[in-house]
Amino acid sequence: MGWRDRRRQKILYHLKASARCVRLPDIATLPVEGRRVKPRVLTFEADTDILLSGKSFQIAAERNQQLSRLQTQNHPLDTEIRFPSPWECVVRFQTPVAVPDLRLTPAVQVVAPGTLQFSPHVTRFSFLSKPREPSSLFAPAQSDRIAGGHIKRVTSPPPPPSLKEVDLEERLRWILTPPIHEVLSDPQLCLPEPPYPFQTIGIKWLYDRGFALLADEMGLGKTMQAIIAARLLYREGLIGQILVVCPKTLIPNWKTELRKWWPQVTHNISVVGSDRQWFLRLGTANVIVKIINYEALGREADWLATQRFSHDLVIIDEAQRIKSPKAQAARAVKALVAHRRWAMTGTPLENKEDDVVSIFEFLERGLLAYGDQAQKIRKAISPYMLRRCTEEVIKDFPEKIEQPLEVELDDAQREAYVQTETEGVRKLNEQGETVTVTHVFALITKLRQICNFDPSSGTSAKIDVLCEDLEEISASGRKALVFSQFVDDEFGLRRISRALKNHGPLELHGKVPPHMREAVVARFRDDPKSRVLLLNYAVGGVGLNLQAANYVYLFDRWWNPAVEDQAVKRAHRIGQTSKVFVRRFCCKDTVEERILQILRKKRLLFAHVIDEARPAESMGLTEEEIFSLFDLKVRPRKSAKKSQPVSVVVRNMDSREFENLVALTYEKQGYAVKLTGGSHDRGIDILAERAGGGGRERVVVQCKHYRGRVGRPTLQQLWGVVSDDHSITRGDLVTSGSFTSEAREFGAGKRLTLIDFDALQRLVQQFGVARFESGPLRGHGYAEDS
Amino acid sequence: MDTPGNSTTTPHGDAEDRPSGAILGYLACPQDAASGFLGALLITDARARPLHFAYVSPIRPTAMQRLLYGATLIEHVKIDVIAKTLMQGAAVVPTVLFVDAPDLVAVRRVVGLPTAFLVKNTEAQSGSSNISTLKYDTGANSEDQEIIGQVLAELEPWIDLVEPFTRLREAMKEALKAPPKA
Repeated sequence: MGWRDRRRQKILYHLKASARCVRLPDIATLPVEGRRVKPRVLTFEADTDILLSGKSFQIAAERNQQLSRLQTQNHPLDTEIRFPSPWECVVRFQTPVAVPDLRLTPAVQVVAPGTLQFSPHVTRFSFLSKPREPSSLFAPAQSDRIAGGHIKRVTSPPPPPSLKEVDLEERLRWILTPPIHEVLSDPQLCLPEPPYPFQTIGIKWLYDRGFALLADEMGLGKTMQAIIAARLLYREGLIGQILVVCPKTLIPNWKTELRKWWPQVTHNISVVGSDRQWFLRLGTANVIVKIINYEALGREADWLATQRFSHDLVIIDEAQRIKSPKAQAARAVKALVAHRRWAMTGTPLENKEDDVVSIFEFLERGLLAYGDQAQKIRKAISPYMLRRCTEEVIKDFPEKIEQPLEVELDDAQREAYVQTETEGVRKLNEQGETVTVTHVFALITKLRQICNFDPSSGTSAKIDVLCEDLEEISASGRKALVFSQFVDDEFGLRRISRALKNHGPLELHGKVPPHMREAVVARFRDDPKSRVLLLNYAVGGVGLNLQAANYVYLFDRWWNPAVEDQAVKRAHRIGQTSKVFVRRFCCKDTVEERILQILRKKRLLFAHVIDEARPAESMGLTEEEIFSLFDLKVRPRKSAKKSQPVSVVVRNMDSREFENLVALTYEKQGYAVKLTGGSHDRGIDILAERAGGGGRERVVVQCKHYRGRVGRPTLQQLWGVVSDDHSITRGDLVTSGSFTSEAREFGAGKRLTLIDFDALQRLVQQFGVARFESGPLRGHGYAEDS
Repeated sequence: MDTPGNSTTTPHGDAEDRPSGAILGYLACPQDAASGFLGALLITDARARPLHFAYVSPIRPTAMQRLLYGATLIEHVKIDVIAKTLMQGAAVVPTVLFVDAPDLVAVRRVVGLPTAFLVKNTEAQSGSSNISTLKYDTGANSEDQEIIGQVLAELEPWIDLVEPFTRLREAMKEALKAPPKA
């Protein structure tokens, strides 16, 4: 037997012995001609290994991968493999194969029992948590159920970017939480009324975010959305204690809203008392919601900076309160440690982009930087800021009907008005280049007061219209709000109140003690005899829910359209079921009409700024605008030209004139001054600011046009304001009288300056503001309180 | 001031120990040509809030398993392997188990729980209170019909009972996207 035969025998033996072919061609006829095998079809057992020309492939493996394929490519020597049945494999050799290169070896045939069994890998997550609220006790009857149809299907928003960073369990919890409409339909929540779809989205949006700025327009229910979102988090066991920071005037409102939307915590609310540090540290389980006002929190700014305790959730309402980063309240808020931080405001951009930057310093430090461009800010905050406008989200919201009320001054008013204006303009012109915006502002104030009431006869064209309207409103069972910037007896709310005594008027302004304000609101809401509520813009303009009223009267106008809008929103907000009539008074051919024209322009600007997040300027009137209100031939002097000071008799000045004099004195010292308009809540009459060597200098000034002596209580009140806010450099108390020794003792060593008549006289003369003279007493002169 | 110290009521109240109602199980075992057999179990409370979630890593039968299990492979993998394993490790035992495919009703024999294939009733007219918006099938286990019917009648007015399947599938997708733990 030659080598070929031996080789052939060996191959045949191998095929026969080990390949265990199912239908192996006759071994004897296996073509082995020369060193080549003709193209041929061989059928093997499925699990057979073939070695061809040193390249191996497993039939079994091929079968798994190519079960459905008839043609295989790129195999050694261009083979074609078919599997006619699970048990057999047919290989067609396209190219002659050298016999010595063909090797068939059996695959592993040991089938261990474990090989056939499946061993699935399971991953488990448990979301079990203790129920946090009573359940069936509060479930309504079946017939009263909150129908899911009230709440439109809400598309799940994409998870916030930060969620991508969290672990799988958190992501799964987010995905597996039922859609928000399902959650809010839960009878155990027992919501007094179904939220609007946009509110549902807002609730879910807040729920999903560790930090967020809810900037819905006023009246869309920001407080309610925050309360429900917090409640859901509490129910899930994700938070335990909530700290609410809000203006003091809104504390009663928060308590009312909590009682409404989260009745289970009614007895678990704590409001800050005298021991603020104890309150802030308080972490007992039976206190779920803690409420503190900005002023109280601000007093603990330095202490908070050294503390490490944290809250699960901090909500700051009217977040524009922290727009000034150096303000004490802002520093205190930013020192709070919280796992979740939400801010709410209807006016996130009151003045400039840095307002938003300051708010985000609390929400997520480092996200924005002061001086960032508007576009960059807009892009950075878009995932974390949600703002909706009323018209955009509530198509069938009760209409707001604007009804400008142009009235003609009556004869007595007109006479007084013309005389005052003529005289005022003449005096301003006489002042030449020494005239300042303060002088013009004083004239405007006088004229606006006359537009309200004639000072001598007490007649008023506005009050005549208002009385007539209220007769009709009362008869139809409706109620009205009346806003004015003046509170006093002569021109303001108290004068209006006397005129409307038949309609059960209630008052809400700075002179109503804070603890009584909630009762006033409740009485207005519930007492059918109280048909009208009189408010000033400062106190009644923000945060109150006064949907009981359908008529809003703006008896006189504010300088800033945003403030007027805030006032109107007290009645035209969620919960309002009827049309709201807004009647803005304006006396024809007066300074009111001229201011109105400027405000219209401002309103356009406001819309542009807020919704486009563009740079904004102050919403008040500029100096140029104020000067343009009158036909003045003069403008303030820009150069430091010395002029002859005017002579004044201080004791003949009224309160406003005295304030103007003081304001002018500060202006001459290089301060930018702002008169608060007499309705400031805490007695501050003038805000004066200037850049100094050590930074910006902010001075709050209280004016006391007294004949006698100013006592310690007045100083204490001013100190309260100054110590509340570290951004205030000092507080100045300026009086036309003198100070008691107790007052001087109290002021010593504090950031307070006491300026009595003599000191004021020196200042006035030093800066060339005026020359004090003694003259005969005329008019009203000294006031009890400026 | 509302003094916290005076307050004794907690929002947990006395109702904390009350029975929390039916516990619902949702099981899905989709089969994917690329991934193989998948499976996940979601257990919720009566408000459809998640209590437990488990999923199996994709199972790809070998050729040998395919050959030897033959036509019984699918049922074996879905019922005996996936469903059984998922149920065995559940932190809470559901009152009823809902499945998203008719062939999964057979899971009843391994889990021992009332089981039904649950689907939206497309024939139900919206606004009609008499016709259920759901259809269910307990397969051969007619004894389960009563309890399943009871649970549906109790909960259908309050929650969408089919909706959790959507969350279940989304969660499964998210979980399988996640890189395996080291």
